[in-house]
Amino acid sequence: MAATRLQFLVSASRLSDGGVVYLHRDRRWVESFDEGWRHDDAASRDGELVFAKSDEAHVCNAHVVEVGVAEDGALRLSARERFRREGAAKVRVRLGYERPADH
Amino acid sequence: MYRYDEHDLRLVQERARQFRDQVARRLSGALSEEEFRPLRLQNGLYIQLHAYMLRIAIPYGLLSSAQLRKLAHITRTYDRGYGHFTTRQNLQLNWVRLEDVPTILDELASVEMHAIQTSGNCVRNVTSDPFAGVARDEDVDPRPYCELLRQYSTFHPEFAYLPRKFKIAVTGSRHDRAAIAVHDIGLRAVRDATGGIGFEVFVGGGQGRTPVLATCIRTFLPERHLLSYTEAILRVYNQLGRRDNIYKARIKILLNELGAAELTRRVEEEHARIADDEGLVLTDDEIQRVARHFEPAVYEQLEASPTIDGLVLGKDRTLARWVEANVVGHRTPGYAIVQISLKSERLPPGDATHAQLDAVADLADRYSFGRAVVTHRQNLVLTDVKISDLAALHADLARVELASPNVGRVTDIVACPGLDYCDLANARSIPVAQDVAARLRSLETEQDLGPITLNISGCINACGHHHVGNLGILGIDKLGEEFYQLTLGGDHTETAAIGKILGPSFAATEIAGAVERAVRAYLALRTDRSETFLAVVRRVGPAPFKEAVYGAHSTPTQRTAA
Repeated sequence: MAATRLQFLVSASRLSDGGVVYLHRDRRWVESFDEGWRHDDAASRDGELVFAKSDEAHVCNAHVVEVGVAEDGALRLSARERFRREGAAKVRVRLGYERPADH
Repeated sequence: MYRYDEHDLRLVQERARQFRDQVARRLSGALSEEEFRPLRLQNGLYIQLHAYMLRIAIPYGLLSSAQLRKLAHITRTYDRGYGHFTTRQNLQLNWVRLEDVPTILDELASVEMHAIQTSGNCVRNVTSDPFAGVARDEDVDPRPYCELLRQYSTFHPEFAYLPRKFKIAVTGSRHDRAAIAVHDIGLRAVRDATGGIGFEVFVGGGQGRTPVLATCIRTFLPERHLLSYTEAILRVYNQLGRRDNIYKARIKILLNELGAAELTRRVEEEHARIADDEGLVLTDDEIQRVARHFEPAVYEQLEASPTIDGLVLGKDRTLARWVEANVVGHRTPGYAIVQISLKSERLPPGDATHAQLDAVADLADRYSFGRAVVTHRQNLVLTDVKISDLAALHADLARVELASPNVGRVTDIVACPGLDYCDLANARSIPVAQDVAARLRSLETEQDLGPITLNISGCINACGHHHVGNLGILGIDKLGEEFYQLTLGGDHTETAAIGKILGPSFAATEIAGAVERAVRAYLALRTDRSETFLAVVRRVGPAPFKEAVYGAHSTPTQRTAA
């Protein structure tokens, strides 16, 4: 993998169902990793993290996700964050017996 | 089985009502997450990778058909239609919504169930032998003592905030099906020369990042002192166990730091002080009061019924394979113990759908006095099936994909939820289990591999008990990629052993092949079919397995004489 630079997203678990969410640039919580605000600098990241931790009406477990970005744009995440990003719909093999998420 | 009295019922109902109020206050903003977190954990509610997870207690694994139907209803109504049985004989729901949890707790309370003390630094669900009460090698039925310990430890004010979680297992048989050697307290109920009941007391076992086998600190503890001695152990641990480092907080670490002799001396000293306290002494009346809930079923006289061996040798080879692997002799003539494998081709290990839970409830009613038991190997057991009913039961189980003939075999894989669900995991367990099972299923059928335990954990916390699998797999995270270590020689029974790491870890795509090479090495090394995998490992050591697993084009070494 080519040399990487580090970016940061603020992520959390949704209060209602524990779902994975990311903080959008306009301080909305979104499910899409790609719509989350990727910070290049620590000051920006830390400011949003303070907001996220205070937004207890909507989320809990707010934390920073480190994203390694290669020169070719490829992203490197920890295994944990990679699976969080891939989301509940990607959890394990779809076996056909699970009820849909909108129970 | 034990039935709640008015106090038990009121306790769980009020706990559910209390949690409803706590959830409402959290959702309204009256409680912060910091304030709410310990409250939800005290009710078994975690936040996992993608959702809340509710862990439901199943004391010593015992379920009535009514409870099974309720669990089916709950998974169908409030979750995604399935649950996951754990190595602590509990059930986990993986997709609950916060606002639904109080209602789920109400539903559970209606069938004498709850999620109390399934999390937190307290005494967790007491586990036991799934064959309790019917095993041929049983000296003492452990279930009344499990129940007494459950009642004693539930909401015990002194032990609500221990240095770390605390796990107790009880068996009453010579063959250990409860893995007592890897528990904080392991108890084996035995009888002395006069027939009096007492306990061998083992302390300081555990898995996690520091796997330790428990040490026997009392060879015969009279039953009347079961609670007082447990209290003495808990008190010494509560006072001296470390609270500065979560990884050094279990009693196994305290035992290692003090030494077994000093820990025993302190426990005995404390016990001498409290042994005769009125509230701690188990009177005969109290033991009998609880034991009456576990009186044997009313069995029919069935001496002339077919035998298990006869079915194994029968013409129906599908039935024969299932009976051979999944059915065990019962202490009552004409009856059998039936193990229901939750390790089918389609479902992850330990998962059961709502339809399967309902089906097992119906089958328990039809064939086994309305009861089922969860095992620490993530299967279910019907303890009291007439041998003459086995063929019909097998056909009924097959209709709901519960007739896999593999209990105790290599495809009967124990696996934690891993990184598909768990917030602590470093790697996935479920796909590895499925890969390994797919790879070995035909080999198992063709070669009669015999008993092999294979356990997978997605992280060093070892919820999949990989340390005590004959073959163990541990998931690790290497720079964001899943890798897997293979261990060899673990054993959870009365000959307990911690498995040894075989060598460097494997990538996710390689681990199933490595397991297959280890199993093929066993086939080449065994003297005959009666020599089990574990026996071969103990006879020849790890070297031939290592050569088979890691050698570029290695072939297993030649058989060696025993």
